[in-house]
Amino acid sequence: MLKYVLQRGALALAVAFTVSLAAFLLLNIATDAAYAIAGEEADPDVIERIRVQYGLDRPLMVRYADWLGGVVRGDFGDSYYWRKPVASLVAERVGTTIKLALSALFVTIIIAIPLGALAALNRNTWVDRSALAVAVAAQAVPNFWLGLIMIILFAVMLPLFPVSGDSTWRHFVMPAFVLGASSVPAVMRLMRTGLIEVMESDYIRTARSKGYRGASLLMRHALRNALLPVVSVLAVQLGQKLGGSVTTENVFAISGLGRLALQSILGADIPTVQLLIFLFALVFVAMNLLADILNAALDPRIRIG
Amino acid sequence: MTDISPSHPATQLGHEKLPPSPGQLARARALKHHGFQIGAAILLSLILVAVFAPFLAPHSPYAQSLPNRLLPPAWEEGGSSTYPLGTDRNGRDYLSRLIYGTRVSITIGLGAATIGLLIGVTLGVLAGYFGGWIDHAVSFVLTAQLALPGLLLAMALVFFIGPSVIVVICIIGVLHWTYFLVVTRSATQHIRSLDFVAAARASGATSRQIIWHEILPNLASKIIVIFTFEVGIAILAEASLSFLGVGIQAPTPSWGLMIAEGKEAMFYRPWLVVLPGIFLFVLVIGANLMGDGVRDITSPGEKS
Amino acid sequence: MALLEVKDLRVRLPVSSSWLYAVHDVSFRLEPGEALGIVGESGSGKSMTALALMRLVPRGAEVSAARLQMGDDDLLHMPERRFADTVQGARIAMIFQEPMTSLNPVYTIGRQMTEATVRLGRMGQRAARKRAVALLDRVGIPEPEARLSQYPHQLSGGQRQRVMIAMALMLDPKLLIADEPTTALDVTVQAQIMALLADLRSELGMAMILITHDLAVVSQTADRVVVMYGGEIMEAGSAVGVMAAPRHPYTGALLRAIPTIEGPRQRLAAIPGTFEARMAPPTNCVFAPRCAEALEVCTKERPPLQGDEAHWARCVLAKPEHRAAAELKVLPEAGPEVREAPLMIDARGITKTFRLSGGMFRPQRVIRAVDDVTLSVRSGETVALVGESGSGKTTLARVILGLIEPSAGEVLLQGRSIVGMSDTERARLVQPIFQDPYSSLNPRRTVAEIIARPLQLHGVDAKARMLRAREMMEVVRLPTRLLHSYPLHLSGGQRQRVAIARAMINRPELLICDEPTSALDVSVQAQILNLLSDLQSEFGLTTLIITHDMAVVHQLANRVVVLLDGKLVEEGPAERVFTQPQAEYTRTLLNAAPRFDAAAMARAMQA
Repeated sequence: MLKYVLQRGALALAVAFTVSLAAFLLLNIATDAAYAIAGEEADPDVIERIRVQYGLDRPLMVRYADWLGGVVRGDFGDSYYWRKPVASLVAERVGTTIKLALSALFVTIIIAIPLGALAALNRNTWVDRSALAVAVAAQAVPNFWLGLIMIILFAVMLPLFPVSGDSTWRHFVMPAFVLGASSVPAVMRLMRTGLIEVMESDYIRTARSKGYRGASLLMRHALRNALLPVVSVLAVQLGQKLGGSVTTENVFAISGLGRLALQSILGADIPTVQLLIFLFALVFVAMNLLADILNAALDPRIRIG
Repeated sequence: MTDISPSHPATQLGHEKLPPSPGQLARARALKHHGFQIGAAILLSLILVAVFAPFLAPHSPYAQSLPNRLLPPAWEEGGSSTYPLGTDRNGRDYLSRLIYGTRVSITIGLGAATIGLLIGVTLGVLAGYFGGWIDHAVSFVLTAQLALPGLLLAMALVFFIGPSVIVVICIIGVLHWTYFLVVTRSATQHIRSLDFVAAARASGATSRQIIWHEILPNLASKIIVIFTFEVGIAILAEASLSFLGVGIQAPTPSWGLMIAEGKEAMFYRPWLVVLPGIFLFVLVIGANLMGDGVRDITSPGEKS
Repeated sequence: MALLEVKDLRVRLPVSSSWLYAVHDVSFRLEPGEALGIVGESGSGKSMTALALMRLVPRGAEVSAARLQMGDDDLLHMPERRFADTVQGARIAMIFQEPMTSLNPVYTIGRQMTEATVRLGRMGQRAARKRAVALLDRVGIPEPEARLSQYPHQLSGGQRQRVMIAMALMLDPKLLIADEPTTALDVTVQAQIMALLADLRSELGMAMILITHDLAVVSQTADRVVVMYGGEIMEAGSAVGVMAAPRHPYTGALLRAIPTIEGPRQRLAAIPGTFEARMAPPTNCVFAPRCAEALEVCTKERPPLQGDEAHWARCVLAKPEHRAAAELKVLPEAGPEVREAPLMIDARGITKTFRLSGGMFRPQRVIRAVDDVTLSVRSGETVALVGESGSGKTTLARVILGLIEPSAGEVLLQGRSIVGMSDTERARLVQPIFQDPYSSLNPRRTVAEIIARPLQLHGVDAKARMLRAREMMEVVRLPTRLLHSYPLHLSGGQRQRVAIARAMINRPELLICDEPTSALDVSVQAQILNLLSDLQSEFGLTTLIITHDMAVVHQLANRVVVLLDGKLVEEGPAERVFTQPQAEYTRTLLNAAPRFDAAAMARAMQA
């Protein structure tokens, strides 16, 4: 078991570093960092000097190796834009984003899972059709637009929540809802399909033949099997929420990593963007690994040979 | 020697006419499927709007009129029928901009989804059919791609390279092939395990012949379903990029950009934000309904 | 008083916008301790009848009956809660066909066995566990204590079925319904399970309803039998009596269509046509379209019930002697002498190992699917490759077909190594027929395209292809109008014929059939077996038939090769292997095969 986790862990790291390499290359090919630092209108001499000063004249792979070396040492470079270590920029904001991501996950769970279960148990009735309609609608709504509409409705017309910012828990309600709602369709459908399959399985028929029906049938026999795949998907979703928080944080002016990302891009601050991409990739693969482990813990077929 | 004589009632069983082919059955189901019809109607109308935009729009989407800035829609106080849906902060007619916006969204949606299809299906079929190291390599690339925070990278690349429609299409396309890959790969693996593929191999067919003749026709309907969904996803991705300012730039009428532009005035002119969003919503719902519809039609009984 | 009384049971299922009539006016009685066999092919309604008794019918299905009585209780109108608590599991228990999927994979065996008992308050947890251990021991599971904390996936199929049986017995039911309990199991395990059920029955005085398609099994295990077709009972009577002297043309036809493992080889009498599901209540005889003795009146009116309580049939014709006396054409002795014929297949020292990756918790495993097997088949012979699951027979077949590369050894076809041959050359020499008719045809191609594809690969032009496709349809006896149909319009038997046409279109020398009929109904099986044997003689084919069914072997083969766990354990002329098997395993296989008890049947005929 340990060997497996180590193997997968190594693979995960390999993926994260591949991502960082790809990002590094793409970012530095797409734009010339020297211009970003010096400013667009600077003299060609100034730009040249800056290029040498920051080591931007060296080959790409050398620069990447440099960055890699720094990462291993814990030194993630300095931001071109803010003139501060990138790591501190991230550290200041990571807590906020984590809060947002977790609350969003919570929203997804309390909406998608009961909805999916209800739809599965009432297949082809109005309950099912409404649930599917909700899923279809939620998939089509641009989530930044949803955020704005909610601000108009619940912060301006009905002053229930603050318009923007991130100081109190109230500030997180609408953003958490908007971010969580974007995952609801996929999770709901997964729950629905999974539960339908389980309810039509042979082992549920066996349980019925022993006299189990209704709530006890569901709770004791069906739910655990149906939730198995959902749990691992949720873990992965959590990882993706970090990337997905960009628009939400910007709409609600939350000072998290997403906002930092936009600002860095607009400021052509490659080191920050680079680190953020690497970080998000690392979190994603870690969540994937967590999902695998959860799966194994919950499913005896994987746990015991 | 005959077990069934031609005159035996058993051979008269069945219809006189040719029984319907899978294609005909699908078409018949399509005509009864409400979701599909609504989705198709929406898409078709919006495509027509995009094509005939110059004839439908009352003004040019770029024509500014500074004295007429931020007018409300015609039915509100202060509105005027010259500008049926009001004007934006530069005095440009909103209705015209919304109409021309369909061109941006539809072009980008279709273009990006096509790129995603070409990459994803190719890799998926190759990985699913040949397995082995090809599969391992593709799986690694897939995981890396999934780990990549797509929006972030898209934002960065589009902004750095230079926001133009072509760049947006390419970048979104190249970052959205994973769904195609995953489904195509597992479907290919499944089809490959079926006996008719073994029979084809036993008849001497080469891998290329098998992929073209046996595998792809059985993937077609799944691919179409994913394509329609990806169109919707691509449209929303472009809207997000433009909203954040790192996608389509002013003065091109992109709905996402229009929402960003209207944000400043949204508390007293909410329509500036509401209207483009509604258009986005309707277009994407149309694509999604069609996708769900095609899925139901081509594999009945697999509602998911 | 009868244990169970069923009168005029009807079940209909919702299908798109109309109804499928699955069970119609089924009536029978069951005495305590009696074993009733319900026999039928797919679509006969046999399973649905049992599910209706247990209230396990699919959503939306409608069940009605004139009477559904168990002892004093009216099962039909009993409230749900009472039915769940007092009948399901407690008085009537059921075991199903697929042991691999009938147990919940995430809960332990112990929990699944004891939960119903504890829930109903019959026993405390500890007492229930003790009983579970005792029952597991009784059904022959070694180390029963340890099993309680194991999970279903850690047990084999046969063991899981035993667990299902033990679980069914926990609440001491008066009636056990067994729905095709052994169909998914190997033949040797099958025999063990049936023996177990028989023992338990006599020991516990438990009644049993056995649902199966296998007439021989029924004749061995049941006291009484009911033969179903198209949702109705065609004939009912004592098991031995019905088999010895059937009164309904369908029963007679079924009996003549089954390959037997003993006695002279006879040409199987196939039942023409296929079964079509009914979308309206019957207004005539449901078997008439396929009945060789059908009269005009059979297609117009409902047939009357003829006979007495002890043995009756739903048929206009009432001449019991007529059926039994029908003669079957006896076949000549198995094939001409082929000792001098050239070698068609010369497979030497074939070994194939597979590497299975372990995943998270298991080390990598190496499986020897085929272990140093040498096999030779002469031109014109029909050789049967016999084995159960895991014997390596399918892997060996695929190696000979050139679809899999062996880890060791080589295969020569007509003296040439297949390694040296091009794919198309090999294709002209050897062709396969696979087991599953539902996956052997490309669903998106027409029958004509499917059959002619091998020609297309050889560069034959479209016109010539169409002509040859037509020819082949006649050879496999399919109406040519089906050329433009798609596989979804065809039945299992028809699909298998298309597969045969495709295989034969390039006139191969060698046909390799991997369980060609195991997925088909009895009546259709006979059609296909006859077709194969006719094609063989007409085209001078050499055939390698892979099967687990010794009766099929008896019907078709000159020589027999027996595989066990990848190794060859016996080989020789069919005659000799059947009468003087040398390997222990061969003897086990032969003994396990269900067969009609000739002596008992002879007695019944005289009665």
